[in-house]
Amino acid sequence: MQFPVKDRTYGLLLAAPATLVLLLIIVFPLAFSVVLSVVPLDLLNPGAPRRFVGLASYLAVLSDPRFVSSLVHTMVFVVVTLAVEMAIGLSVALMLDRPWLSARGVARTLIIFPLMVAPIVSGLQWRWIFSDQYGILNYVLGFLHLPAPIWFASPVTAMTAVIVANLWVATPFDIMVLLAGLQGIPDEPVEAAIIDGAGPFQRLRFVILPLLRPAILVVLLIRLADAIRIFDIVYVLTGGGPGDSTQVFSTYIFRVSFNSLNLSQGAAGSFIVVLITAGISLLLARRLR
Amino acid sequence: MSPRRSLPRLVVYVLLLVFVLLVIAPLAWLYLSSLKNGVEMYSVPPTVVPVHPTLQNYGQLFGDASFRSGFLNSLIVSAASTAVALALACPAAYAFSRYLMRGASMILFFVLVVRMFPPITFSLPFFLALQRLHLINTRIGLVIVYLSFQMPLAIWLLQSFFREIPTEIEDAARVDGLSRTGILTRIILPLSLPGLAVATIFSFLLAWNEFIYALILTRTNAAQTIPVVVSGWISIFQILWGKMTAAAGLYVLPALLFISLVQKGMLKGLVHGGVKG
Repeated sequence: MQFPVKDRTYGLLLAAPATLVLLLIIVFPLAFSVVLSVVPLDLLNPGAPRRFVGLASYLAVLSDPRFVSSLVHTMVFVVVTLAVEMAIGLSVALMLDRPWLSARGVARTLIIFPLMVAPIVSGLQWRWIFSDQYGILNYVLGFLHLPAPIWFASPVTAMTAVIVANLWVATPFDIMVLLAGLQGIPDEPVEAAIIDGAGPFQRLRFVILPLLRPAILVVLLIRLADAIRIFDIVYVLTGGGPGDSTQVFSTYIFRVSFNSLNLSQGAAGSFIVVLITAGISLLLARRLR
Repeated sequence: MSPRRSLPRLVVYVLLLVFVLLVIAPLAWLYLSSLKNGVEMYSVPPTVVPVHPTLQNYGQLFGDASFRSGFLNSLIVSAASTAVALALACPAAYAFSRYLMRGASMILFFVLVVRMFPPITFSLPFFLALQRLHLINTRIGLVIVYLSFQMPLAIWLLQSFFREIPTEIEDAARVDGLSRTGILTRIILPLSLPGLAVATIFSFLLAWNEFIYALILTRTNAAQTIPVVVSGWISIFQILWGKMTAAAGLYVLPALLFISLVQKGMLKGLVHGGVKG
């Protein structure tokens, strides 16, 4: 138009600084990390000549039983937490979606409180709640004459604590996205099902859930990537213990890289997990279409 | 609406009430605990509401130099990285929403990469790079690193807000002789203040809540942020729960404040940017 510089050029000028910074702090580090996984760097002896070792670091990390067990723990955590999140998220969203519900706004405000709470705070508060001697939870359980375990002493209860602490921060997100999805479903198909004599369960199973599928898949995609990277909660809640029973992949990589200073193995391990995450996400994303 | 309701209304209300209580209770317990004195903290049976409420835990907290510096570091790092991220993101987001429509998919690519690659993957190259630049254990180092997750999100959010502004307004401004930069600074930005606020708050909270990079890239009070300082108080033998609950309670306050202030925008941001944690 009447401007001296073309619109496209002007756009490129505006976008250039941000793009450069992103390349520098996202693409470059990742590329560097890939190189690190095939050309190890000896941190204790930085002057030593570096050589290409191919997939040796990948093989080393895969043959480390602690890495494999951390992957198993991560998978157990991810599967359980996503299943429970979806179940609770869907139930609560369905209840919040009732047209006659009064105080929906208040309920929603209270429910989304944990949404932006730092995971580390969730970890700390649940560590206090689950603590064996002075924990409020065991007091309540004792009061109800229920068994009150020493939560952080055995693998299953410790993992349960991790899952609960994570559910508390994560589920509000599921609820809100699913509720938005439910509110986007038109009334007609549901009314048609009612006229055809479908009961509440049939309406849910054959009308509402299929229409909600995109929202469900979006939640799963987002939460999957989040759940696989869990670190903060495990770090402050169990520290990976007892033994290594709640050691997840991120805490394993952290240890290998920064305690054992084996950066190449850490990088290799983290790329293996990225590949797994990407694979599952692609499968999910394909179903989204 | 439906002739046969699946659940009686009363049941729905009761279930929702129970759920809301379950969500609120842990935080409430955290704050109530932080107001108890050393004896009441560990009393059996526990008291729900403190019988002798006291602020001594908070006093102890602020008497602790490491917490004071942690608070300051968290504030400075989060504010600085948010300011830089937004300053870079605004023009870029505008460019992607108007002049380089195809480029928007590139930003989505960055958003996805940051989502797919766990922070622990980035932490290795960040650690080595900051070490070489002598920026380990500095606030500047953290600010640079935090841009990596704040910027993609901010650009993505802002360009979706900018797209909602009708182009007719800009055309009119052009006809009136306003330059393109003038259009951006005097028309677009003022019109998208709500969107800017959401992007700012989001970016700030992401940095404020960040733990793993700060844990790896800082060593001392010079740069350690609140979560790193507080996590350092955890020991296998003893945890001073009074001080701990007070610290956690203070640390989480901005998140609670913001979320109650800007609910709608927050939700929109979560869904658009798919961010969390």
